Amino acid sequence: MNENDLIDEAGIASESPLQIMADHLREIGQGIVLSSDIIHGEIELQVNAGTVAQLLMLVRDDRQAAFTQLIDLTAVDYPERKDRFDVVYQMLSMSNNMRLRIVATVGEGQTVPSVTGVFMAANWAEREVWDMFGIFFSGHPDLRRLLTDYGFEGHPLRKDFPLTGHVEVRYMTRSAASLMSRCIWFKSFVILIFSARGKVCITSSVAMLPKLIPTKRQNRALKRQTWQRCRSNRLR
Amino acid sequence: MAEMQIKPITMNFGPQHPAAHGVLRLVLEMDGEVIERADPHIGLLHRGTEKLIEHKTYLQALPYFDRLDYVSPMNQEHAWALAVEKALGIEVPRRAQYIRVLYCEIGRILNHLLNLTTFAIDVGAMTPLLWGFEEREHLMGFYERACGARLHAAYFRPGGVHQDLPDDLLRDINNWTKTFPAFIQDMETLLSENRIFKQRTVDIGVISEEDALSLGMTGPCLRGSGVAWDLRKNQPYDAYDEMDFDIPIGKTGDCYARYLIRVEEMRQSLRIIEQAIANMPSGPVMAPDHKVTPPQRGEMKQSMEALIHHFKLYTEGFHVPEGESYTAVEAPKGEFGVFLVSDGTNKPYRCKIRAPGFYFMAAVDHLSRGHMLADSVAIIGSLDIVFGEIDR
Repeated sequence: MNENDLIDEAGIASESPLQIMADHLREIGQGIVLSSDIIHGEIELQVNAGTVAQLLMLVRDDRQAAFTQLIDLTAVDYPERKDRFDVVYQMLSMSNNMRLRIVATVGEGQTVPSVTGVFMAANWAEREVWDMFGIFFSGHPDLRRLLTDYGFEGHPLRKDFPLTGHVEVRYMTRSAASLMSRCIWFKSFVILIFSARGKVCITSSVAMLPKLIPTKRQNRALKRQTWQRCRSNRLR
Repeated sequence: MAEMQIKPITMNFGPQHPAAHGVLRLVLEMDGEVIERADPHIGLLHRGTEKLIEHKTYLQALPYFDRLDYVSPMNQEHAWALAVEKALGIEVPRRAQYIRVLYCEIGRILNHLLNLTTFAIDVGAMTPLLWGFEEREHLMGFYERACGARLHAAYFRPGGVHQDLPDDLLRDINNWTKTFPAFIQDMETLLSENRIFKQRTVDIGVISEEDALSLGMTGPCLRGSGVAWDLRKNQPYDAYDEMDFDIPIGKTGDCYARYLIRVEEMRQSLRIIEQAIANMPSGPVMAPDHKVTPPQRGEMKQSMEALIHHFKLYTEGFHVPEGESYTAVEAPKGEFGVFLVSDGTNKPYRCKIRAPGFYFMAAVDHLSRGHMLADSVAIIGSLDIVFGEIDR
């Protein structure tokens, strides 16, 4: 028996409205919905990426379901999985006062059909997912980057993208210009990872990029250059 | 003389423009004075909040929420605190719930004061801004007295609020609620029936109910189009189900309707503040589960366990059980949601922030087509746009 079922006085399990809705959604999405679940008072449906647009239209136009708003569209990256991304659609039904989450699993390089034709809100949301994760939406009218800088490379919310990024911008006082260069870490950037079982392991992002650590000599040379630059500026 | 064909011109609005409400670059394709297409370029304030949160413990992630919509910081924190509490399954003491509701409504008034008055300045009225910011000073004073900071509060924590309110603060807030209605009245005499203000806002940027739903509108922008939906009423969280207040609904869906709704919402917020103060229960302001909340300072001097809890909480943080959840609050701008994926460790695996302003900004193209250039300023003003939360 599901924990969401209510038990009345006679001891017979009567289904909660959420369970009824989940069953109804499975019924209208027959052949599309792979599995359904109820977590924290929200319905979650698993679907194939190819059928997402179809399902969104079904749950929007169905009288009983009436999920009329696409509240949010995002993705989650699981790099260790074969199909590494989950594309997540948050839906809201105002008439039922219920929330629905639709999850589609996609692999790297796989395309997802755009849902801009179903909900106008998907336009920018899909652009953001493309920008942040590099998931391509087929049939999107204008799939440009949204949040990152013009000419930015990489997809920052992927788990293999370092927190510091790959490039940094510095302002050069001497030439009065900004300069873009590859990131150099002067100090090792240590991350403490506490695993679920309480074990502690130490990793550093520098270990992953050994070529970028300046040696002691390089460090000293850099310091000297900076010092000289400061001095010459003062003299001028 | 031969007829001349005027080509559509492309115009750059921003990134530094006083009416752009922050750093917005709007590329407009114009046919004379009429906008044919608006292409907002956002991300100039992008700080990678979501990525940073993945590298912080649940408690360290909290202050980032102040920096999203910096006009009403505590409302954002509220969403994060509720999301973490939902994942952990902890109960918040009633006094903390009331304090949260009280400060969320102060945040709502802070936000609406800024939005309405800057909206007024965008369409040519300067006085409301000068008057409104004086009131905002009072409110930020109340923020400061509760948590020590005027803007970046970090006051709502998972499990309650960080500290109890100082003596006399509730009395002073109550005194302020007596003077504030006069301000709303004054502001309304300047704007509501003002001929210029109405000419600039009535029938400008009309959103139909259908479009508002499809565009992902929430908050006053959705209610302006006639949809009766407010999470404080429909999906009440904390102590909102014990409060008596009304939800104003617009009819026309234009800039003027959105203005009127915000004015009325300030009055309703005032009602909630009065009720929260009158019915403020006594008791603790933090859940007693010291795996999640810090122990009392005095207790730490005596108890070894309290010291360990304190040390563990501020170094390792607490572990959140594996799972996914979506939590939303009615922030002043609309539905502010947090989609939290936890993997059982002390850091969120993924935290997606659903900012209401993001969807408003996306709708600017749809709304401003066919309008004059000057109307685009009114539309941006009425949508209540703050770039902290849009760019994240």
